[in-house]
Amino acid sequence: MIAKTAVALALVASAVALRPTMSLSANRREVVAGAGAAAVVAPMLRPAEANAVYTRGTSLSAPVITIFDARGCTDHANKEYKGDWSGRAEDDECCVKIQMQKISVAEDVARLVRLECLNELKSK
Amino acid sequence: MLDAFSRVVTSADSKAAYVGGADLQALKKFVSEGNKRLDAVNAIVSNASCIVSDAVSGMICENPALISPSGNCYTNRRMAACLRDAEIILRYVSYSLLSGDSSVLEDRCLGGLKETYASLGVPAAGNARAVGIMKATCVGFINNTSNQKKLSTPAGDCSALASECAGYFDKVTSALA
Repeated sequence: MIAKTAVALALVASAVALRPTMSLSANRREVVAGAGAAAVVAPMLRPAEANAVYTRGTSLSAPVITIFDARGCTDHANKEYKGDWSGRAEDDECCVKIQMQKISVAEDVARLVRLECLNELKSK
Repeated sequence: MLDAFSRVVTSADSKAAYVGGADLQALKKFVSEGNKRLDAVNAIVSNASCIVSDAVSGMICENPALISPSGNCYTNRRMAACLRDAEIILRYVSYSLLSGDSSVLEDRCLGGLKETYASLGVPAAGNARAVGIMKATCVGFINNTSNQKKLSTPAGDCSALASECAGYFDKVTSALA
């Protein structure tokens, strides 16, 4: 449920931002997930004035999604999560993280891709 | 900037109506098929670097002039910029797929992109081809029909998600055309 809740709450959090009167049931699990989701969504909910300042050329960032999927992992006991368990592996052992990050590609990587292209072209 | 939920809420709010009917069913389906969506997004973001480098390599192999001295990918720095831009587009598409709405992609990524590329002299045909390759790769990953890389995800029909993802790439292509 964490994974689905994270996604759903990320979306609901933005909806809540638009509708402040909407209420959510808030047990600890949802509060934690919701807070994370809101933190993720909040930068994307800037007012229109902020968008006017935004220029793609100066902010080369993008939302980087990381899905933590620990289903079936028995390497260690899960001690991070302190809330209630749903009893279903796919719900208790998945988490979604979304973070705006500056995207950059090293020139060494670019050189490798370029070399691969040249090798491919030579082989034709 | 909306997502599948806030779009429905905003739409209902503008009509002073409750969320219901087809909209509510669509949201229920969105939640119930959340695991599929997560697997689809995971398939893309876990292979983002490969998808991007394959797309750019394919674009260049089809048009080697791009890495000739007068080409837009001639120096390593320019090649890095090309890879970076492709990755940015892919990341925004993956976010659109996760949120079920393309408004963030359109507002934060595609707005002004065509004009920026035009001012830099970046050829539109190359862009479209790279985006097309990324689209084909992502659709292959989501449907798990890639020939050389099978993902260990549960079997299921993800054709709707694949076409949704393809639609986001089509938006990118349209915006750059």
